[in-house]
Amino acid sequence: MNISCTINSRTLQLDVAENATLLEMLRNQLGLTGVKRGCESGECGACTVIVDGRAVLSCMIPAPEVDGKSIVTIEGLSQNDELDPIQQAFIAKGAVQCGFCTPGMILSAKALLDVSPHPERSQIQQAIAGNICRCTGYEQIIAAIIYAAELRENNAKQPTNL
Amino acid sequence: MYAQYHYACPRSLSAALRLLTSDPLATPYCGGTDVLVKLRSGRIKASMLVDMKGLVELGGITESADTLSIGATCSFSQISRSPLIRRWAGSLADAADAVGSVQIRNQASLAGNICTASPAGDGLTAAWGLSADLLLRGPYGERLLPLSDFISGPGRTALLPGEIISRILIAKQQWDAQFFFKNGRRKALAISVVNGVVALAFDGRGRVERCRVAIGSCGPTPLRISRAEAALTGRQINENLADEVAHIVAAEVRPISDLRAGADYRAYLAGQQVKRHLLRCKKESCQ
Amino acid sequence: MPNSQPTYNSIREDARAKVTGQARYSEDYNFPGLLHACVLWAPVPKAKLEAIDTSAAEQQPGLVKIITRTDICGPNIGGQVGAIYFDHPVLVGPGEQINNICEAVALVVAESQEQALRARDAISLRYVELPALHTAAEAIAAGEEPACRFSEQRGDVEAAFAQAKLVVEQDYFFPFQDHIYLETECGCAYLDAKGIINIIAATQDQKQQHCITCNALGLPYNKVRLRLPQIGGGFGGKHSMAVHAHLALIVHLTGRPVRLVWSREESIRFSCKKQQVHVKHALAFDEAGLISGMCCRIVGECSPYLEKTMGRLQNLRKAIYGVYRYPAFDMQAEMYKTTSPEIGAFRGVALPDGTFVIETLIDQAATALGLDPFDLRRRNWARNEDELRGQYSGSAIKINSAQWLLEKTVNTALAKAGPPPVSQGGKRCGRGMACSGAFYFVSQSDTQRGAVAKLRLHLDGSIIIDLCYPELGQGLTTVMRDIVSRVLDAPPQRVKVLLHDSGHTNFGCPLGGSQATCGGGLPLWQAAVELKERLISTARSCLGWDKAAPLFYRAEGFYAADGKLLLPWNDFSAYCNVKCVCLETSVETLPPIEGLYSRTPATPVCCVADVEVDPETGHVEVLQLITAHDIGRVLNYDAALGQVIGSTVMCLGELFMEEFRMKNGYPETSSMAEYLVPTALDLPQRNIVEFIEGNLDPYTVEGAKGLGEHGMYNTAAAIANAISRAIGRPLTELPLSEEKILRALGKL
Repeated sequence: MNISCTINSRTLQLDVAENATLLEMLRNQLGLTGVKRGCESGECGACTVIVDGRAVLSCMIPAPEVDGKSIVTIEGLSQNDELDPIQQAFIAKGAVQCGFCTPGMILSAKALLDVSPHPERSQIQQAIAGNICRCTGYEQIIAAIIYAAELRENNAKQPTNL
Repeated sequence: MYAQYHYACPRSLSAALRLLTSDPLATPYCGGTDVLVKLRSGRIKASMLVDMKGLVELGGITESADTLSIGATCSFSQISRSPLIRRWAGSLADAADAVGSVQIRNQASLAGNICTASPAGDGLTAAWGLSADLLLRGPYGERLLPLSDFISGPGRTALLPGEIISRILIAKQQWDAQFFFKNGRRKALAISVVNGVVALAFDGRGRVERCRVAIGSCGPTPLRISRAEAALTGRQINENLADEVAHIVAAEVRPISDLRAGADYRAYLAGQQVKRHLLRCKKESCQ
Repeated sequence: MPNSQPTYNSIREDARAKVTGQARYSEDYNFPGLLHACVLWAPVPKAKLEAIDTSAAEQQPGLVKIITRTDICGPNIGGQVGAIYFDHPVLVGPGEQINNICEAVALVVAESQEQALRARDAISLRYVELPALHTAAEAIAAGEEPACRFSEQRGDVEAAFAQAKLVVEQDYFFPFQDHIYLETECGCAYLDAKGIINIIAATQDQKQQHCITCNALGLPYNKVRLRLPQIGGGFGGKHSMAVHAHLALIVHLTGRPVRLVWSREESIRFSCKKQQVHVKHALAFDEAGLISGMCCRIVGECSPYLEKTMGRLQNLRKAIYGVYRYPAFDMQAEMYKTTSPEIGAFRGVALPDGTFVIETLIDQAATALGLDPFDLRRRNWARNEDELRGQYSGSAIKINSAQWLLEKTVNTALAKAGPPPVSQGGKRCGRGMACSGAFYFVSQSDTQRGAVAKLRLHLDGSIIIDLCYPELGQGLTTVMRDIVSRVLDAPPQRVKVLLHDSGHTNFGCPLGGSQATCGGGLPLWQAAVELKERLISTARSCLGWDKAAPLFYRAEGFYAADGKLLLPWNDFSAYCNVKCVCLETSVETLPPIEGLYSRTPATPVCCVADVEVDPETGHVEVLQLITAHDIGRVLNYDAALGQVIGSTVMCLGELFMEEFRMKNGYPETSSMAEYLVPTALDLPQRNIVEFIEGNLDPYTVEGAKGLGEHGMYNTAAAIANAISRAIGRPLTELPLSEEKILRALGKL
């Protein structure tokens, strides 16, 4: 089935299997392996991407559905080797351990901050409640998102020799 | 995915109904959060997934003089954000917030929750408590059915072949306070152990004029506890009455024991939550 | 003990790759012509397998090969690897017996994942189902002997109990627990140009997997090369045999690259688990509030394949002793073979459960005796190494540090916790504590012997660490990079850590028991020091200088004391090239110290928890969780904090919601909707960690002690003690739930 969609600001014409999920399309067809397969049943959030500005679970979206839509994956966050403030914040606050939940977590954070630039702790917890992390216990992730909000506001940059 | 099916995204209701009536295995879906999981596990088979989100008639939240009309393709996020819902059906907005996670709420629909007909469905229980009606569209035309007549048991709906929910209607009622509550084994991504709605409207003298007490996850469908509602009507809320109603609720519900919780616990908890929220209603409405 | 060093911190060396999605995990590798494989699992828990009918499956489009037991030339089991005998078969074939649901019967290989799954569904099995024992209770009733048994006595326990002023006794239950690493078991493999099978798959023990794979399949070790990718969590669960042997077999037989993936449901159903045990524990106290005797009975079920079970049992019983001294004790532990899943390693290595037993029981005793819980503990602590070690024979537990800082960890945690919470508004508050002497590994044992790393300088001056330990996400590569960077005075960006590749470095080290930094850090440090000395002495030769002249190495080259560059790096490396100077050094684990088989020091940890319980709903709010660690030296603050917070939340999961259930040999909890782990909303309101630095371990780098599992040890016990104080009832069956709390309160 032919579809046209925008992925990380690039418009693509794709031929997708009707029974493919968005997760399969991104990973297998487009080689965007930043989005992860964790459970394929909507319970872990590792497959989170942003579609038309909303955080969604790509394992439960039929690929043909994204025709005409705009998708952001983790690969779309850094521009020309420059990291997005959320990525910088995750690095700075030690919010990354095994890293498997990280792409989905960052995109959930982005979806939140794009709508609520100054979230409180409880709002952050709500926004990432669908992203399971088994490593960090979430505290440094929450701290990173608070810091990311500051960075976005100040538009300050960390040194780029990370 | 392993399951094989076609995908269609009809742009008109008549096209959608044609697809659904021509093939009994053509499956309508909106958010996909139940349907795709069941397809993957093999619990259901579909020849085709019919994406209902292309149908304008099934979208949006509108109002008439006395009714709220929620489109079948409205997501829980949309319901939560809707000022109309917040104004008239706050417990439904709260139920929407209690579902799954942000991602699931962005995709999943109230109509889908109703069609899945799990007695633990949060949106379903809230809509049940608010006496929602369903506007159904099929090859024959349109019909209106109370939600309480639409579901007869877990996973069992009155949908006829080729029929879909097009809109969910909630009468605009003035409530002085209404709450949705949910108990689960954790605070997100949890199937409800007990959920429910308590809504109260008081007369000029602090007595209950109208009320709703509905409990989910304690029977084959959500339950309106009419005995509790009868016990409340015409009386003033206080600790004793709230306690009395708690006992009625615990006696009236028909829960089962399962992986998540025991039946006696569910019954007890349902009663406690109703009691708690009756007192909250009273406090909220300054009665 | 002076502590004038600043706490170290740095940016993780793998963070950038992970936040950009560039980090590659097992499933992210792709190769031209990649095949896809899936496993056909046993249909029933116990049966005699008679036939595997693949005729219909072979007609399926895209099917490439179906592999069964008859395709394996080797003995089909890993056999003896180090101290453990691996007898879980790679594949079960016709004429053989299926012993639990976690047995693999066939491998289905196809051109696509969909086609492999479809072909798998078309295979039919003929088997005769056999009666089976599914639980320890069934095994005992059937008169079975325990497969694994431990018994230890000292003193006159009967007399101690007969004369006791107080006896406290409880029955505890700990269910199976799953690791739920976010990355399931998966991997890929291919045949390289030299005909060597390359396997890229996550594991916590490359050497063990290498041995099991080659032994079982009858392949020479040098025919198989294991290369670690990034790993999406291990927690002990990726020590066990999963995909390596299957991948090797598929490549061996097809000659093509292949990817094998376990779904989440397969991972939950078939991977190894933390042991499920019933523990009956009793303590006798004398007039002075001192423990006069201890009596413990452990009964659990293990899988048909013993493998690591005895190790887990040993850890559990050590943990039950805790940090106390016992004039008399009677410890009996039995595990029975059932259709249960494999008992694998789980973060904390049974210490969380053992600590739960002793720390809740001693708390109960404090209540019964009318004593402050801290005071009762203090009276009964092992005061020195001999008393701690005296509990049981054969232990190498040592207090490595100069002092036993258990009291200090308790005081620190209590001070940080502030005044206890006050019950109000109908809710009941409570404070609980738990302490343990958590162990970690230093130096080599039979299973831990080997290379830690190779350290080498490239001709361009970049520093490369070929690390033999796996990085599971805990930050090991960063700590190792920082150690070398500090010694060699090189900016961290110049130090590259390569994940283990058995083609480059011989034996991989296993990761468990908080040992990697402790066991590997000092040898790496020493090797870096030695390498630096060699660089400088070589530079002196190059310059024609004598030994006395001061010379300093930095990345750009060699400098005099006044900062003048005397020998640029490029000139030096050209010299080394011509003279064939080796700029590489190998890093080995420490040999056994003082003739001990292995060295497992214990370091004190204390946790204090405050809770608020709603007695009408059973709901528990954890108001705060304070953990204090006598950590020696923090090598990377963010990573250390992350490890402790992460493990406290994992322990919270164990306490409140995690439970893998089996019924008649079948898993009842098979998905992440049924097996629950904490979300970001399920956290304590405050989760605070205090590190006490300065009490150093003399055998580790900078005196740092183990950390990765330490948040697991006390959290559950501290919170359970807090809840028990709030509601006035003991809680002994995990996981706790609001329902169980209400039952304890008599509300149901």
